[in-house]
Amino acid sequence: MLSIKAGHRFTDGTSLFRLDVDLETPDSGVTAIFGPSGAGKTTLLKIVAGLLRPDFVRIEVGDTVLCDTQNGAWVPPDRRRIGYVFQDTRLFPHLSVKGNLTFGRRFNPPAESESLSYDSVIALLNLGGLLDRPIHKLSGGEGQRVAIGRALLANPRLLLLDEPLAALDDDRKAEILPYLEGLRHTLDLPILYVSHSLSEIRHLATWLAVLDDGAVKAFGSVEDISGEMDLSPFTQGGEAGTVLAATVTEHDTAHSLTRVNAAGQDILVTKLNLPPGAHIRIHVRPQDVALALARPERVSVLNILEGTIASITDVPRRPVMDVQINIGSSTRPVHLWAQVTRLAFERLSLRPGLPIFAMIKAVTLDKDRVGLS
Amino acid sequence: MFGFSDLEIEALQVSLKVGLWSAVFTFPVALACAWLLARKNFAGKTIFNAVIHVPLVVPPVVIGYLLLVLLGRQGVLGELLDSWFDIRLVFTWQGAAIAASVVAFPLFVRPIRQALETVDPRLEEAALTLGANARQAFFAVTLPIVTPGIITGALLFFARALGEFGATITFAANIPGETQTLPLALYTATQTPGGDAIAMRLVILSLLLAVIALMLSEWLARRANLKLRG
Repeated sequence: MLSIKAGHRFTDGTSLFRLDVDLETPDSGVTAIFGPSGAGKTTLLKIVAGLLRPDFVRIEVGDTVLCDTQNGAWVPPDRRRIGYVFQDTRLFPHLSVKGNLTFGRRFNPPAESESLSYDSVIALLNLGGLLDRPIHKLSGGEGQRVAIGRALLANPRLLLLDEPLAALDDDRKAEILPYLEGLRHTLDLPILYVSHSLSEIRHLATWLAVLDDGAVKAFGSVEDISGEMDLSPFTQGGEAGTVLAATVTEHDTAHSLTRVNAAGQDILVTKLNLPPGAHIRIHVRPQDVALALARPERVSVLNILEGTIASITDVPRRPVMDVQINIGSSTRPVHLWAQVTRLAFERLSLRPGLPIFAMIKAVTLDKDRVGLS
Repeated sequence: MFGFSDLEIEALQVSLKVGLWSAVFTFPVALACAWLLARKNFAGKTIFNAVIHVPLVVPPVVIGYLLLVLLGRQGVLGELLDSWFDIRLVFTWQGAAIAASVVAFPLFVRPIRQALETVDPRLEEAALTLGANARQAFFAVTLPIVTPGIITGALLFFARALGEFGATITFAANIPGETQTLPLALYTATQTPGGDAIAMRLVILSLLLAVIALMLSEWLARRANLKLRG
């Protein structure tokens, strides 16, 4: 179990920021930390790593208490064994890739029992061809892989990733995501992952903590939280929406489609190379969902889900509105977010409780949005 | 080979001894001061900065006289050094090294400080998370990155220390073989009737030393830069 309790008041003369966090996550698996700029995400990671010493803090990883202001316990950052991957990599410019990777071992000789050997980290992140390269000759994606490898080779008990993909363009993101997915399946340690993008989270995280204004507003599985909460205010132009849990039922090879079941309803997605019965996750972007009051006929949209409007988020002066639809049952609700214009909202007189049909084009559910859970 | 006399060779040896030892002993102090100025905020930082830079703007003779007042036989500290440790600095090459160090000190501090200011302090944070304590993080990350600045500072310091005249002659006097560095020997030669030939050979020695030091530092700085930026 990873347990973080921290409280701090930051003042810089004019403004005041209060951080008051209480978060408990399971022993292994990725917990995404989602929240708007200035919510305190990076501050929280720095507190966990020991780079900031707040007024009040208690952090426990596994059975080890790293700090507790109540009894004065304080493990300094260099003794915490917490790997930290920074958004800007912070690779050491005077060392080669290999020098960066082995930096941690200069201060902590590798333990007999270490979970990850040098060779396995090199293989996992495909760093073999980069070892003699100077840092300034790495691309953004390569730099981030080296930074992750460097953190892993310091034999961490907890890994912190602070928006490792934020500074990369879409191609570089696509290049590095498979490596991060590999980590998630290989590493047996808790990972905190700060992100703005639900599609990244769909790939990587099991758990989702929403941090806003210095406090944890929600914590739970990615599927539950993305259905219960309107995440679009937190993405800063990144991708919001819903992550649905689904099971593969059958393949339509002739049409290159795969039929899956989510919340008891059929959904067609672009063809998956997964056997029937495989558990998958589907990331549905709110702008990819259209609404209809009656079951539409003679339309190209393949997925028409029946549901009821659960709630509507109306932020004044925002041209779009977020509509939460329950596509499950009343006893086992499963929520899906749709984004509609104010005009559409008025024309259809949308209101909570209204039966509704949610349409999702199958082409929007491609391999970028659908994958193993 | 150029027919240098013992006096000239001695002056060269004293100069090298004074220059090198003062560089070696001043380096850690200059590094500490540069680090304080670049990284720390403390009460009286402005005054501290001014004190470090005073030798740049004050006539060296003034420095020499102040050293005499402070470290001379009857000086505030000099008396204690003499009676407690039997150390006398006046009229010794160590005294000449102290005079040269004080005068050239700001030239050592400035380039290191400037180099430190360009190093992202967050790199040391990264080193902390990798298991290095604050001291190890500084020596394993920041120090190698500022090496070109240290070399520049060392060269400026060494050159200024070699050329030191006013403070040295005031504090350590002009004793051949002990405190008579190249500039002091050159001054003596110009004051001696028929000393022109000696003076010219001392000038050649001084130029030679300067060129060698310059080339050495260029070469070292290029090597350090190569490692850093490829």
